[in-house]
Amino acid sequence: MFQVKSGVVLVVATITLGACASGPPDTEVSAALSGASESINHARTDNALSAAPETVNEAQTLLSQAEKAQNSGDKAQAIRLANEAKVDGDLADATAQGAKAHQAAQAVNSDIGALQQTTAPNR
Amino acid sequence: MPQPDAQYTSAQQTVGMTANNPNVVKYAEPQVQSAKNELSQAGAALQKGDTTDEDYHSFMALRYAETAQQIAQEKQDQQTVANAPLERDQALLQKEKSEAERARAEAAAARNGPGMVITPRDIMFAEGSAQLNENAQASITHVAAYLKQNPGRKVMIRGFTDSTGSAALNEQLSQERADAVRLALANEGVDQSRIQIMGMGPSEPIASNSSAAGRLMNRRVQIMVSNEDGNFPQLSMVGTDSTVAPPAPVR
Repeated sequence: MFQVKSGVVLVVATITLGACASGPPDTEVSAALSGASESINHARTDNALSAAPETVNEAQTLLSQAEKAQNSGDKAQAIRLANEAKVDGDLADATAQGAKAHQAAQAVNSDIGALQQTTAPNR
Repeated sequence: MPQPDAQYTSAQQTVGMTANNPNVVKYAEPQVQSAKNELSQAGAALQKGDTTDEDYHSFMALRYAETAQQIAQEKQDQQTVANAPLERDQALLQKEKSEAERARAEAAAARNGPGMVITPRDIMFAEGSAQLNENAQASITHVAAYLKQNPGRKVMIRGFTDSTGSAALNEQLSQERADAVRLALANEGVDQSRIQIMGMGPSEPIASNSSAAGRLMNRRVQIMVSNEDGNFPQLSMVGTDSTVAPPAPVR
């Protein structure tokens, strides 16, 4: 009976120790993960899947790997992967926004270009 | 010193390029700063031989730099769109200006230009006759309307004959043909003072006098219209002599 009890204590102690050894607090990990998924969602909303599909996919893959690392208790790795996923998401979003702005600028330029063409002296 | 890996080298190049582009620095300063920051951490990791950290910070540096470039491009494009109304106005203004210039130039050319020479194909004469044919009226009406719209212009009507018959008779006949057109124009309300006539006889044939069809073409009138200043076109192009064209002598 006593032996069984001490076994339980030992198991609990090991788990606690393990959590301490992996470093960053859980809040930091979950903040990194939610930052990454927010960034990816934002990029998707801005139509990044058509402007930068590879970057969005890479971000998604990195986020899944970050979640796996979190589940297996490797917090430092989880944060790194989540951060990488986040900058990928940000890049995808910037690319999508850039494509939109570029399209608008091109439309404006061709409009003005057409005007200037009719202006050119016809000799 | 440890060798940098490909990830680091690529980040170093991209961050360097980004940080050296004043437009990118101007529009995406925070991202450029983050990129430089990550790159220096990657460099530190490289020194320590920590390839995991080296790769991680290199990746972050590269992405920050790429994002900075995208943002800068976006801002520049937005600037283009923002400036569009102004550029558009300028282009429109330029367009209006050059159209006005063109119109002015055309008006001046019409005023000072050489005038014109018309040989109405539908005004034909029977042999020995100065009677206007039925179809002539269309041309007469047309020329009269033109002269009413352009009161500064004058006309010189030159009558011609074919080569049959005597010179004296042809001279007379050609004069009568020109006069017939003058009368018709006057009937349409054109002031007589604007019309001069001249009998040219069989000179300046436009077709061969050896066929009936050619002779029919040569029995004609030619209407010379002056420019707004009253000057008639130079006749060098129709190959006539200096007795003809007032006030511009040919040759």
